[in-house]
This record gives sequence, structure tokens and C-alpha cells, in this order.
Amino acid sequence: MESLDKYPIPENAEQKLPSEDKVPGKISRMLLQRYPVWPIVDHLSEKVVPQHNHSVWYNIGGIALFFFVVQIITGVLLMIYYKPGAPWQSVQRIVMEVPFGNLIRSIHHWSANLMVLSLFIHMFSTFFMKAYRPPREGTWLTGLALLGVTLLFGFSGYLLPWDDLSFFATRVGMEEAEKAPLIGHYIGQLAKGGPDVSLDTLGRFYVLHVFVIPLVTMFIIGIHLFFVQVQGVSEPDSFRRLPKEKRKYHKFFTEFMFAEIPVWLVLAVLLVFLSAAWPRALMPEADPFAAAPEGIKPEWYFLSQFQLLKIFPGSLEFVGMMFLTLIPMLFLVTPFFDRSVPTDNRGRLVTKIGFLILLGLIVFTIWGGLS
Amino acid sequence: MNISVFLTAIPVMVMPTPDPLGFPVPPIILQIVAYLTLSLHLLAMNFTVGAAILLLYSKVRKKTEYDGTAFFLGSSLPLGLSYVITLGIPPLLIVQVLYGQMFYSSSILVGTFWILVIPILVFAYAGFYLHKFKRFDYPKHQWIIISLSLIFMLYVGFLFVNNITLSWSPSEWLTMYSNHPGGGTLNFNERSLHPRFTLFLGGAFAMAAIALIWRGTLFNRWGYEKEGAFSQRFGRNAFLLSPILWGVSAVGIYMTRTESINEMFAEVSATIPLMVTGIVGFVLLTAGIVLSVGRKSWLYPIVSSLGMLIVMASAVVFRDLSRIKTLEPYFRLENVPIEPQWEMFIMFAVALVLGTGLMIFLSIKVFPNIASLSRERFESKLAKN
Amino acid sequence: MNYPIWDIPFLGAGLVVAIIAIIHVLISHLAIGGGAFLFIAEVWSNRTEHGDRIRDWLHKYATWFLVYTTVFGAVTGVGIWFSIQLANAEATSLLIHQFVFAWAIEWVAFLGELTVLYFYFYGWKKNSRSLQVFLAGAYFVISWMSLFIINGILSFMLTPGDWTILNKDIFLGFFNPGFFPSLLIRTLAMFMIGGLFGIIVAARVTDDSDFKERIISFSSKWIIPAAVAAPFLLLWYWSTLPENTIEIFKSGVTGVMGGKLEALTRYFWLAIIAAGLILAGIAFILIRPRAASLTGAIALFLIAQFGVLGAEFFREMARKPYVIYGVLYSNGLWQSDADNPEYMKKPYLDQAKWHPDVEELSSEHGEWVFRLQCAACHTRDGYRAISTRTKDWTGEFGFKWLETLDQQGVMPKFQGSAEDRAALSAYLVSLHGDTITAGDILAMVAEAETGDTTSVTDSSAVMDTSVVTGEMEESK
Repeated sequence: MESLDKYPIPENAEQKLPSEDKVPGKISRMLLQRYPVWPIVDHLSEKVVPQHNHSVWYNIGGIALFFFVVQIITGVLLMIYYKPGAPWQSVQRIVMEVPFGNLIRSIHHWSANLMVLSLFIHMFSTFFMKAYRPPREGTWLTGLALLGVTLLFGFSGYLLPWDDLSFFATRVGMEEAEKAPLIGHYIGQLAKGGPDVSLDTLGRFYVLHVFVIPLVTMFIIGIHLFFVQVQGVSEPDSFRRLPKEKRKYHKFFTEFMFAEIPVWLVLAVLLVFLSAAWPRALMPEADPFAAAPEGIKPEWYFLSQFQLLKIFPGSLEFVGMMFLTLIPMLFLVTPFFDRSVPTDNRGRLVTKIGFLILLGLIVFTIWGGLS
Repeated sequence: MNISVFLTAIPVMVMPTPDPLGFPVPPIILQIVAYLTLSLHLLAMNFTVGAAILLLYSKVRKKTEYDGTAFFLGSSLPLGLSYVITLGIPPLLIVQVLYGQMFYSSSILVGTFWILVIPILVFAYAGFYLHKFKRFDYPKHQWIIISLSLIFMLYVGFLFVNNITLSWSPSEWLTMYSNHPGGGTLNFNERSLHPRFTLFLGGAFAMAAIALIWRGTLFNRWGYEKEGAFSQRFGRNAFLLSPILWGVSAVGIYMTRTESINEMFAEVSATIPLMVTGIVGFVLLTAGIVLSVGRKSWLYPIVSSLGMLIVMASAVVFRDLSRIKTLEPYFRLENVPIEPQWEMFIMFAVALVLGTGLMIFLSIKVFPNIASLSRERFESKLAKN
Repeated sequence: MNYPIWDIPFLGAGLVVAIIAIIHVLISHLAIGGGAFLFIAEVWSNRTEHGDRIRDWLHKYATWFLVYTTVFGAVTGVGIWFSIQLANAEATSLLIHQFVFAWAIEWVAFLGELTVLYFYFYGWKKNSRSLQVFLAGAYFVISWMSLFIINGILSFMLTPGDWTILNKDIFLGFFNPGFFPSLLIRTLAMFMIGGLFGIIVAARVTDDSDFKERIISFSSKWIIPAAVAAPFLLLWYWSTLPENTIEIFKSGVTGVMGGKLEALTRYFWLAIIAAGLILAGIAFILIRPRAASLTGAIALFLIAQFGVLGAEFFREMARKPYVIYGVLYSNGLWQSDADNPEYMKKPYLDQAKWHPDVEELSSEHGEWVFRLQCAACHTRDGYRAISTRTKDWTGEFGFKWLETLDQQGVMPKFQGSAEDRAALSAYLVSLHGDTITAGDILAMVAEAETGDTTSVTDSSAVMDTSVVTGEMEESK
């Protein structure tokens, strides 16, 4: 006898679903009778993405997500062989003995760098397209949070191989962090688990890197994507000015995604290529009592901050610190300052300042890299 | 053990040992193939360079009467360059078989400049296609594209003159290499370098003229006598620059000639007949071009083309003889052993005959179609004006 | 040795060849695969409805095809020729003298290919249907012949088979063990790339999505031969590779100490992964033609470029340290000379031609030994840098190490006297700031010899593993 508790299929669903005699039709009806999610499915199937000259930037968020997924996969594989008790030896083993260990580790390294790069591109492209304006403040703020946790990902992961480079870069990085007024010292102690970088630091960073930060990240990504799905993709001013008939959209599910997937495939190949041509080296094991290697520098995404602090030596340090605090603050408050559609004077000011900050970031990064 | 003081003043001779595989056939066979294909290559090169120059001239004149010839010249540039490249392959192949030890050495010595030929050639070629497809969208900027492509082609030619002249100056090699192991130098020690370069370019106007004569004759036969005669006259007038360039270059080469060249005139019996042949070719070339204006007979374009081929072939043979003479102290073709590859040679000969046969057969079918498309296009342009 | 070495800093002559070749291979494979595509598409257009519409679209394909393959394909092909004579004139000379008429026949093919393509393209509007079909077919056959020929010469370099410098048997050399597997692999890859190009051109059709779907469906079917046959052909190709190459490849999977060419393994996997991803991508488009977009199609084309990079790097590395396997080393040393211990012990600069007079044991001596014997494969601090590989060397260690150079996997024997070794070692350690002279090294070695019983030439001097860990990753 037909179960009375099965959910009925809504009428407009019957019209839109594939026909009942085909397999997809049968499966979708079976599922809908058990899980009444048609409103959600219907909404998602109608999701559109505006098509215009700047549409290519819409892909970048997905690209960052792709790299994150690669990090999870390669990270889990690395976790199988990584031992926090004998970190350097386990990484050496991964790289020299474990089949394809070299490849997986190098991909993890390159994907990390490309993820940070694509996040910066994503952030600045959404910034210049003013996608943060109401009602999308929440998306923007969660996005900034994601950038922040990703930098933490990078910083914590960097220490894990426990070679010369990792150790000293972390030590230098922690020294800079400790310069923060008031809280700097306490943050330093908490993070390091003692007066200096040690295996206790490694323990903390390991737990953060493989458990805490991933959970937090996935949670925030969930919220971020939920916001995007519910609100739809933002449209830039130039698009809105077009008369309704001239605005072209294509569907998110199928068209947009299918265009995106080959891009992910290229990125996968790019990762393999980078790993083949420039595999990640393993320096000799960290020796806390040795002198720091000459010209030790943090990884490229911290270079601008590093260089900025360097130009304000000694007692002027707090000026550098101020900049480092001010700039993130500016980005945080942007959606509350520049709210109007179409763009007004505030909006133009924000664009100009943003451009200057971007320029500064690039200049300082290059400067930091060359010096 | 080799203990010696560092010497700089006395140039030490270095010559690679010949290839252990020797020649696949008696060298004269390869030389003849090279003469023929190099001549064709140089004719194609002269045509492309000349067409580009005349196209630029047409753009500068800005008169509508030049439009037809400008369209024709601009359309043939990519085609011309593609045949320059393709016809250059056999002579390059054969110079490496016959004179490999010399040629490879000199190539490496100018290596960095030599390899830059490749990207520069890509840009030249791309430029010609860009002109062909976008000339009506951006008419005012075409002169930039054509000029650049022309300059790039001149670079390629200049490099070849450097390389080949260096290949027969072994006494220069070791000093050059010791000072520039990265191949970043040219053969400016060669006094005849620039006159040789201009000599090669001299035929540009003649070849462009020949093409315009063929076109003019065709248009006359179609009944478009105004355009046809204009094309012929343009060609004839442009042609006059070639003998001037050739003359000046020849004087330059004569004034910078080496002892070997003098010896060659004294000892090699072929030099005088060659020069006579060249002069006969020149007469045919001039007659064919000058007499063609206003006429419909194919005789004139044919005679001028034949004349040009004879001029070019004589020059090419002459140059090879002078090369052989110059290299005499270091290298002689007859000293290289022959490891026969007759089956391979026959296969090549058969392939060449079959290939040429197929091309001729297809030409007969296709040329009338392409010609009639040109005619229709010209007809519609006339109708518009 | 016989010819000067084109000493390009940072890149090295070999990498210049690689860059040009990798660009060329993708385009040339498109040229031939695209030829097949044009032919089949012409035939298809005659047998199906709306043939005119298909032919109009085909004209777009042909236009892009013409410009792309002639401008970039032909010139980079000549570019390979230019660059190989600079990177290794000795080997180029050998190939030219052995295969000159094969290349001459290939030239006839080029001439024919070009002319037929022009007839096909420029006669488009007026040529009869049957003539167009014939021209397209002729283009494909002729261009495939050019592949046939170059494949013989290229595969000869890796697997010369029973050819020797003594028998000079051109047919043995041309139809060598690797000839047929590589010919077939390349042909199938070409069909795939020709189809991929079709997807790119089709993706630009915006006005008629049913027609677009038809064309894309037609184009994506071109992967089927490759998808079906590639694994078997790969196995066949694998069976022809030199033993040493396969050993190194296997050791590269698990990673080894510095000196072995595990980059071989990495580039192999790049090629395989790229190929797999393209097949997956096109299979997806085959199932859902509407999924194809211009971005996606170009992305797949880019993946193909990476695949070509991986495959060609693999093929080149598989052959190291030889340029003609078992016959001629990349640095100009003939195998026949390498097998002659007397010859190998003679002072190097007496045998190598292209150097000025240098004072023995001076730093110039060391530099010229490096340039003429090592720079064919190693730059100082760029690609395959020698400075990274020797960064933990002492003068004495280097001196001993050089004696057993050929036991390091893909290195040739060292050619030269003890003085040459000392000079080279002194030069190499000077690259990381060590100021020891060759004379000092010889003195130290002589002292050690008289001091203890271990012979200087005892190759049981074990390599310290920690010495090479740091730079192992970059060994190529």
C-alpha cells in the first residue's frame, strides 16, 4: 500500500522535472517524495549570472575554492605520513620514499600560494566592482574573514616541515607580530607556547592547521556561499544601466559551472606542471641554535607587511603598526561607508583609495622581494 | 701536457673535423639543387620585400589610382613570405651538408642574433596577415604594420649575410668565440658585409615589378586596360631602382674584394661565362619589363621572369664559386668522402617530380577559379565607383 | 668539442630548443589533425542536410587554421632547426648527413602541403565540391607524410636500434624500434587536437544553438581513437625505451638522492595527467555538447599545451646523457671515444678545439673545461644549475667525484687528465665563493695519497647523503 507519509510533488515541479519514464525523472521524484526540498532546487535552477565585459572576474571565487579543495585532498594525504613528533624526518620520507610523495607535497605548496593569490584577486575584483554594497555587506565581511584565516593557514602550515627556512621564517614572523601594541606580547606567547619557537609551537600550529582553521574555514565558506546563493550574483553599475532587454544572463547551474570546470582542469594541470618544474625543496633540519640564514624573509604574501614594518625602524615602529591595523580596518568598514547605487562621490573616493592600497601592496611586495 | 702562456695577438685557426658520414651523393648534384632552390628563394624574398616597399609607397601617395595595385600587393605579402620560408629550406639543408663544419661554427658564433630571426620572422609574418585581414578596418595604421614587418624581414636578411660571410672566414672564429661565447656578436669585420646586403635587396624592385607586369598583362587581357597599363607602368618605373642598387652594391663588393676573388677571376674558367650569362639575363629582364607596358602578350612577363631567374642563378653560382675559392686553404669539397645514398636520392627525385606534377595539375584546376574571383572583386569595385 | 658551445646564461641552449619545440609540437599536431578534420568535415557536409551552413562554419575554422599553422607552426618548425644547430651542431650534422634526402622529401611535402592549403582556401568560393574534398584530403595525406618523416628522425635519436656509425644503414635507423608506436601516438593525439580546435571555433557560434551543438558533437568525437588506443600504444612505446631510462623513471616515483633524473618521472606524470584531463573534458562535452564554452575549450587547449610540454620534456630527458642514444653524448663526446680509456685520459683542452690558449691549472682553464664539456647541459646558476648541485663541494671532494662521474646515473664519463679535474673542481667551488686553486687541490690529493693507503682514485668514497638532501629537489 502506498505510504501516506510520502510528500506530494508540487505542481510546478511536475512541469519542470524530466519525464517520469526516464531514469533521472524517476530518481528526482523518488527523492522529492522523501525530502521536500523543491523550493530550494527550484530557486537554484533559476540562479543566473550576469554576462558582461567583466564577467570573467566572477570565476575567481570558484578558482579559490578549487585550490582550497586541492589543499584538503593533498593535506589529508600528507597527514597520513606526517608525524608532528618527528616533523622533518617525516617530510623527508614523504619527499624521498613515499610514492608520489614529492608530487603531492609540491602540489600542496603551489596550491597554497595560488589560493592566496586568487583570494587577493577575488577580493580586489569584488572591491572594484563594488559588490560589497548593501545588501551584500555580510558576504564581504565573511570574505575578509576567509582571507584572514587563509593567511593563518599559510603561516601555520609553513612551520610544519621544520626545516631551516620554516623555522626562521616563523621566528621572524612572530617577532613582527609581537610588535603589536598591548596585545603583541601575549599573542606571541600564546602562539609560540614559550619564549621561542619550539616543538610546542609546532604542536599548536599543527592542530590549528589541520583541525581548527579548516573547520572554521569551511563554516565561513558555507555562510559566504549561502549568502551568494540567496542574494544572487551582484551586478556592476554599467550592467544595471542597460535597458532590461539588453541584459544578458546565463544560468549558474549548467552553463556557468560547465564553463568553470575546464578552467579548474587547467589549474590542476598547472599545479602538476609547477610541481614538475619547481618542486618544493626541503632545507636541512631546523637548528634553533644556529644563526638565521642571511636575508630570511617570510613567504611572498607577507612580504608587503614585512617591508612596511622595516621602513619604520626603532621608535617609529608604531607608525608601521598603525598602517597595518588601519588598512584592514578600512576594508572592513567600506560597505558601511560606500552604500549607494549608482556610485556617488563616496564610491569614487573608495575606488581611488583602494587603488592606492593595491598599488602599495604590489610595490611593497616587490620591494620586499628584491631587498 | 699543454703549458702555454696566454696569447692574444696571434689568431689561432680552428676548424671542426668533417662529419663522419661524408656526402650522400657527389657534391655537384647537391650544388645544382641548391643553386635552383636558392635562386627561387631569393626571387620570392625579393618579391615580398619589393611588394612591401611599393605598398608603402602607394600608401604615401594616397591617390586612388594606386588602390588596385595596393590591394594586390597587400594580399600577396603573406603568400610571398610563406614561399620565402618554404623555398629557403633546401638551400639551408644543402649548405649544412656541403659546408656544415663552416656553417655550424659561424651560426653558433652569431647564435643569439641568429635565433632571434625566429621570433622576428613570426612577427613579420603575423604583421602581413594582420594587414591582409584588417586593412579596411584600420586604414590609417597600416603603414606602421607594413614598415615593421619590412624591417623585420631586413633583419633576417642581414643575419643571413652575416652568418654566411662569417662561415667562410675561419681565421676570425676563435677570437670571436673567446670574446663572445654567448653568440652575441656580428660579423662587422667583414668589409663587404653591407654591399652584399644591398646587393641581395637590389632585386626587390625588379621582382615586384615583374609581379605587377604579370598582373597588368592579365588585366589588359580582361579588358581593364586602364588598371592594366597603370600596373605595368608602376612596375616599370619601380624596376629602374634595381639596376642602380645592383650597380652601387657591385662597386662596393669590388672595392672590398679579397685576394681570393682576384685569384678566382684568374683561375676559374667559369667566371667570365657566368658574368656574361648574368648580363644576358639582365637584358631579357629589362626588355621584358620595359616593352610590356600597354601590351597583352604573355611573352613579356615570361621573358622578364626568365631573365630575372637567369640573373639570380648566375649570381648564386658566382657566389658559390667565390666561397669555394675563399675556403680553399681550409676545405675542399673533393676531399670529403662519399657514402652513397642513391636509393634515397632517387626517392627524393621521384617525390619531387610527383609533387611538382600534382601541383601543376591542381594549379590548372584552381588558378582559373581564383583568377575569376579576383576579376569579380575588381568588377564590383569598378561598379561601386 | 668539435664545435663551439653556445653559452647562454640562465636558460642554456637546450632550454631554448625546448621552448621553441613545445610551441611547435602543439601547432604542428593541430596542422595535421586539423587537416583530417577539414577533410572529414567536407565529406560530412556533402552527405548531410544544411551542408552549406556547415561549410560556412568550416571557412571560419580554415581561416584561423591557416593563419595559426602557417605563421606559428611553420616558423617555429624552422626555429627548432635553427636552435638545434646552435645547441648541438655535432648531432645536427650527423642527422643531416644521414637523413638529408629524408628531409628533402619532407620539404617536398611542406611545399605541397602549403600550396594545396592555399588552393583549398583561396579557391573556396569557386572550387567544385569534389575538388574541395580532394584538396582537403590531399592536404591531410601530404602533411601526415611530413610527420612520418620527421618521426623517423626524431625517434632515431632515442632508439637508434641496429643502426651504427659503421653500417650507416638509413632504413634501420629510420624504421627504428620506437618509430611505429610514436607515429601512432602522435597521429591519434593529432586527431584529438584537431577536434579540440573545432570545439573552440564552434564555441564562438552564438546565433544558432542547435547548429552549435551539432558541430560541437562532431568535433568532440575526434577523441575516440585516442581514448581507445592510447593506453596500448603507450605500453608499446614504453617497451622500446632504453633500460636505463626505465630504471631512472621507476626510482623517480619513490624519490632518490641527488644526481638521478627523477624529473623524468615528474614530466611523464604531467603528460599523463594532462592527457587524462583532456579526455575527461572532451568526454564530458561529448555527452553534453551544450556544456562547451569558449573559455572551456581554450582551457582544454591549454591543458594540451601542458601535456605536450610534459611529453616532450619526458622524451628528451629519456635520452640523456646522449643526444643520439649509445652513439653521441650531448656534450659532443662520441661513445667510441668514451670507450677508449687512453683517449679519455688525455688533456681535455688538447682534444677540444674551441678555446684560446689558457694557462694550465688557472681559473680560465677550469672555466673552459666547464664551458666545453659541461655547459651543453648545465648552466652555472640557471636551468639545471651546476652551482646548486655542487654547493656543498670542497675542491678535493669534487676532484674525486669527477672521476666516477658516469656512475651518477645520467652523466657521461669525465674526459680529461687529473689536471683537468682539478681545474674544473676549483672552478666549480669558486662559484660558491671557495678560493682554492687547482694546484692546491692536486697538492692536497698527493699528500693524502702518501699519507694513507686509500687510493685517490678509489671510487668507494661514499657520497654523504646529508650533503645532497637540500638540493635534491632541484635535480633535473
